[in-house]
Amino acid sequence: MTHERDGVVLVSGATGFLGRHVVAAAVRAGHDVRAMVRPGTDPAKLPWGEHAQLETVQADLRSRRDLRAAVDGAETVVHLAATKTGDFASRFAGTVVATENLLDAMDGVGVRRLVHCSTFSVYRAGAVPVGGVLDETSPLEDDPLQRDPYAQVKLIQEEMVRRWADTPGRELTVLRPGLIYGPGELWHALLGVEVLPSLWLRAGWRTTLPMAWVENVADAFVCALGQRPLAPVTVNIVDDRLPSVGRYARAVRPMVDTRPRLVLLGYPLMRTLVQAVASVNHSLLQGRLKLPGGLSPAPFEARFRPLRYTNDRAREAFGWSPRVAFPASLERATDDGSLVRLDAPPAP
Amino acid sequence: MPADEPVRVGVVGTGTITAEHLAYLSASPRTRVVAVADLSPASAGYAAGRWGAEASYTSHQELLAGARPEVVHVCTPPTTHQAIVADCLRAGAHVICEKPLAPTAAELATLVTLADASGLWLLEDQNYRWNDPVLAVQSLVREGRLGEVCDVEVRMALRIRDGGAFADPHLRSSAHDLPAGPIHDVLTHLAYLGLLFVPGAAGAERVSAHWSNHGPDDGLWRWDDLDATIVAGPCHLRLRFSAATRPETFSIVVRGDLGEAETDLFQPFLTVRAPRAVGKELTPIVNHVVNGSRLATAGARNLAQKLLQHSTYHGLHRFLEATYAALQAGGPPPLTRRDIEDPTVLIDRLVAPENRR
Ligand SMILES: NC(=O)c1ccc[n+]([C@@H]2O[C@H](COP(=O)([O-])OP(=O)(O)OC[C@H]3O[C@@H](n4cnc5c(N)ncnc54)[C@H](O)[C@@H]3O)[C@@H](O)[C@H]2O)c1
Repeated sequence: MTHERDGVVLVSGATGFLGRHVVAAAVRAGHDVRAMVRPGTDPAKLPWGEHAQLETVQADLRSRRDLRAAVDGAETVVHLAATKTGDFASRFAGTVVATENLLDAMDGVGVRRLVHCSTFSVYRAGAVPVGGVLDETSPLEDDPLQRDPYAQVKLIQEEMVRRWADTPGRELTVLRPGLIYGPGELWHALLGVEVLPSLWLRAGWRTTLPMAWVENVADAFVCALGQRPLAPVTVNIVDDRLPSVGRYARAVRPMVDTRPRLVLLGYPLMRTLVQAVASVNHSLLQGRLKLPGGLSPAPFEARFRPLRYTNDRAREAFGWSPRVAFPASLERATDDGSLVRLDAPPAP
Repeated sequence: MPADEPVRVGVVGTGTITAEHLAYLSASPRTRVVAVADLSPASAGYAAGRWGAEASYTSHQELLAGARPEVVHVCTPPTTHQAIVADCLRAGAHVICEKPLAPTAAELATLVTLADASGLWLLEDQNYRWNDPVLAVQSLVREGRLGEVCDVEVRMALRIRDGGAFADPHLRSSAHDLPAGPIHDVLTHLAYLGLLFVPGAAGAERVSAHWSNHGPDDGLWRWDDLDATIVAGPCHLRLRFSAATRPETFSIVVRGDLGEAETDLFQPFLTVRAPRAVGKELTPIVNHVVNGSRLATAGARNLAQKLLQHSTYHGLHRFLEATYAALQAGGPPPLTRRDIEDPTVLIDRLVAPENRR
């Protein structure tokens, strides 16, 4: 996958879980990459090692200072940065205000091409019939306050980049990865609801998981770089032959440190419980009851509704196909960093 | 201010704490949010949409000129308060400012002068005064159950070095520029709560404050620990902040010459060891039994309150309700001039080189 060299690619969120792979994949594909890392980052601790096509620039997206200089001269920005912890306000600052600052800096120095990382969390899963296919035409969440802060800020962020792209001459590609997994990130919230650290309630066993192996997602971003869309393009990114909850949980359980017991309640029963609690909350408690994530209806559906997924559009739009498949992917999951090293031959 | 018309309110700064202000303001029939402002258009726009503000601006000057609010809530970082509050007062608006209103007593005095010259209210958000546990201890004191108060400790343990804005090495928080650094951000709370039970503390003859940095010296932190003792006449006040101890607490212990009470604002409970009408022998036993059952109830209540969103900020809603009720009724504000000034005077003394240890 070698592309003609067409200008510097700036990657925000470069040292993140996905970002480190995107940087590595873009460099390997022949791009000149500028990795944006936060001020004070120790260069010796960067995951890639030295490479002629790679430079780093220090900037914090939450502050406008230094941003224009950081973006100046880039042809394309791949925007991965987001704050995934903390309260709503710090997530908002690290995700929405960060994006506002980035777009402002891009406008200031005339960068017109953006590849934006969104998420499946922007969809309203509950609107897709059980067993139906969630794809790019599925409805987006229209009642964000019912969702967790992550979904809320990612929705606002995606809306913001779309509004930015309304101005003629700007090019936007939006990638919405499913659940990204990779080294160190195997156990996840779609497997169940945590009741205790050692006890999770499982809403399904045969439910398909929208998994996307981190290197496959990184490849998708590199493929997107090869496109110059005339109108905004939006694609979902999931792997082929997606595992079920049961298959996935069985395979990764021996590989994770905390091995919670998964107790099966099943989707129909859990949904009935969640809806019963929601209606009591609504009628008797004026909606004041605040339940942990996954136990109120909208987040529950987002996590556990049994749906199917497709990557047809990503294949058609820019010829991407997932290179690594489950469960072979798990052999790479014990990786100690060599997957993204650029100063050594790439892992097979 | 006419009682039948809602007060026109503007809010400057739409960050973390603002959501609490706007939750009150948007629900109260006493108020109408005419505008919000934030340096970030996205943040101001989101807050306006979420809470039904009529307009949003990207500077407080534009907000003042465009929306002509009667009251402005200043919810920006502390180092920006001075300039914003002064502009609001000059524009003829009453001000409710987040704590700390001013970093030093001298700076506070200039704002007070400005407010007085125009007959405007200048209030600092001292929200915890209105929290259930504080009100409970105050009524014990008022009823004389503890006797003469002679020893008070207000203690906060917060993991501010383990993450969050103050510890962020990538984006230095302006809180590090306050006289007491990030501790200053919560010290106002400790100071006004201490003063609630030891009113003479600001003018105390003996003040000694141990400021330390127990965490790693990473160039960001000057102090992450405060251990201060203030002796005012026969009364001792201890203000304590620790970033190291667990669990996170915000506890108040009030000891009098008859008995003592202890409470916590983060995980509310109340224990009282005081004389009971069962005689000297049985009193300690009854105290233990009563306190034990109170603790058990507190556990259940805290769980319910967590689920029902009765947060530690319930005092803020009560403070705002008291403020707007008084404003509409033409009564006095719920905080006196001394309530506002004394905490800042006390903090000045804690950071004064002659009192530092
Ligand atoms: N009373 C309490 O219990 C309590 C709790 C938390 C914070 N606070 C206080 O509230 C204040 C704000 O704290 P926070 O945690 O909400 O901070 P924050 O950083 O979450 O929010 C501050 C907001 O102000 C905006 N801002 C900064 N400068 C501005 C300016 N000049 N004009 C307009 N907007 C500006 C920022 O963009 C940001 O959105 C501080 O004084 C803090 O000490 C009080």
